[in-house]
Amino acid sequence: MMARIASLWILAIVLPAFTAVTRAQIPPGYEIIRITDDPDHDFDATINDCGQIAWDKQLNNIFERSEIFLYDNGMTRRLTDDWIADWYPVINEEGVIAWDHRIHEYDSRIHLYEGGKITELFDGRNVALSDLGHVAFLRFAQPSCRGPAMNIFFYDGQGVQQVTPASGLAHQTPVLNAADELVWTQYDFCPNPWVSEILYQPEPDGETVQLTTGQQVPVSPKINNAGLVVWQATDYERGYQRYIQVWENGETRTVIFPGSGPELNDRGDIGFSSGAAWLYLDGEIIEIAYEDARTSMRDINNHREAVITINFEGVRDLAYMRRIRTGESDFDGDVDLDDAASLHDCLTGPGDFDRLCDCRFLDLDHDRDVDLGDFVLFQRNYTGAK
Amino acid sequence: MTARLFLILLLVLGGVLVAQVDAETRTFQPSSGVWNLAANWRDSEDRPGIPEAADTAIIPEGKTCTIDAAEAEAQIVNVESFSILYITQGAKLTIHDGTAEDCTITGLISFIAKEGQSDPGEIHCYNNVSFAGGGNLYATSGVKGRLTSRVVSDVPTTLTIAFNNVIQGYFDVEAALVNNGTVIVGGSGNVMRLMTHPKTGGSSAFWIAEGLGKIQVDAEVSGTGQWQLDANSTGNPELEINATCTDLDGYVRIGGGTMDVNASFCTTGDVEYYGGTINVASAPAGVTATFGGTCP
Repeated sequence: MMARIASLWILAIVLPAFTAVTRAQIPPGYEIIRITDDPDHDFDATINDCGQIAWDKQLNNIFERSEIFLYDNGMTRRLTDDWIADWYPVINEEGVIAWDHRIHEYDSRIHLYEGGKITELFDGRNVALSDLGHVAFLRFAQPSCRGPAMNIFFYDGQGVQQVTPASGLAHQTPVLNAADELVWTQYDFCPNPWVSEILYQPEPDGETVQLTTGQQVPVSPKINNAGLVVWQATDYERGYQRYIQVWENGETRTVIFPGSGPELNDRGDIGFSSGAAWLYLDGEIIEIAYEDARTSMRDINNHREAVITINFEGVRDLAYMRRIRTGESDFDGDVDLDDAASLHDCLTGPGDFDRLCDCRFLDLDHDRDVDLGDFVLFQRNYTGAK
Repeated sequence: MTARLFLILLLVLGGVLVAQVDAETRTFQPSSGVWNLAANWRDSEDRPGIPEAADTAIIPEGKTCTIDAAEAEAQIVNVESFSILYITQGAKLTIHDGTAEDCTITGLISFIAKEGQSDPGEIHCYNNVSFAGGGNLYATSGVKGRLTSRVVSDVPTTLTIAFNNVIQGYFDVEAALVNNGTVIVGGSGNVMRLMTHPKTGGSSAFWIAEGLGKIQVDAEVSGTGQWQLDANSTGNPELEINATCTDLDGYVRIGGGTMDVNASFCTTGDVEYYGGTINVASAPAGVTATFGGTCP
């Protein structure tokens, strides 16, 4: 048994690197489409289960011209237009988007896009957004040790409360799940070299739990709605390789080596980067490629759709790995009466509809509605129950 | 057998790949901001993240980054043209070894004051640093900076100043220094201490103390660089030689102020004297100051 575990461990280490030598794969039932194609860099893309993608585009590659864009089922909208940097958007399942409106280093505001309107919430940066519309973010604080201190704050739609105590440490990169469980990175810039830890707060006002002990530079935590947490750490002894660890029910294990920048969905799938964009699905590791571009992972949703950066000679565009639309809505391997019932429920008639969400899978002709045209295609693809 | 060969191939190939150093290149993003905020950097895969020990940190053209009284580290730091890296009092930048590539500074590194902090800002170099192009190193008057070389494989790392580039201000230069530009100090109470590791100057080099500034030589300096003491309306400068420097070929211009020779000083270059004082210490015995002669 131990030998088998050891072999699996070796494979876990070797496979991503080894697979990188082989050709890229796309999971069956998926396709990749390019959603931006221009000389401006596209950064920080996030995707929700409705397939809506929010990102910031740096117009003319000027930082202050970073503007927020939203892609929804074939339609792209620009949400901001000013000479103030708008960046690091996050989108929740309701289609609400929050981002940093960075006037300058010490004046950043949290902006929220909801129902077609943008509102300014309060000062802060590095925003995280839950499906309830609750927000976590950070603010600079007075250092009690040395260096820039930062604290995490939480907004529940009513008021703002400080999560981290005034310790002189720098708390950054907060992430919230739907239950307001919060994870973030705590930096201490006093020792040389500086150190970091991953912290977890299961509920607002609750105790804070430190998830890491002894890892080198653990950063970039993510948490899903099952309470699974992933982060990236660095192995100084093995060439400063980045690797990905998972924390679940009090236990930590290394799942990907090498790999960085983990993204997580509620199934426990992990998207990550290691010279390219990768997906870790049910223990299988798949490279996501797009033509000859250099790819890197941005985000994945619960439909195992992903948004990736495609980098052609330094210009960053975005591609969307989405489900191929066959008429399936429950993805049980057939197009049957269950899917027909969904089609009936999703029918919009001809038009141009935002947020079709799961009904987008039945927009078979990709014209932003579910109408008779889609019904015809559905009939052609009908297989009956299998 | 085939399976065993496959496993060996897998391990060898994987081992080679895993053994590679996974240094990241992180590029500073905003027009101005602090070093120690993850959101202010993007790596080669566009992820936010603060530079780590093995990383390359790039401050692109036109950007201003501040290490604000904190620890910062990288393996290579490239401050590009027309960009500025501010290092406040109490801040420390450690440049790690492990790469054949030097740090290149074609922008400005400037040490500045920080309220509530009195310790000097520091740069510790385990890797060579070159100031070239428009690359200069300044310290605001009254703000002390500290530059150190760390010995790597028995050799101290080197700070190199190219022709026309400048180190100016109140510094403890503990680094091995190759000066082909200008080392200059002025202003009340500002001292350029050349210490710990040897320094050398090329034919285009200047070692200048002006006004109330002082150059204090506590480690051997050699080469053909020129020495200048330039008094001005603010006061008289000082040049204090506390380490033996007898392998010099540059001329010495005394334009006011004081040159205190507490360890032997010899240059084949001439002295130009426009006023001021040259004091040669009587103790320890045998201390000499030689200009325009033959050096031992």
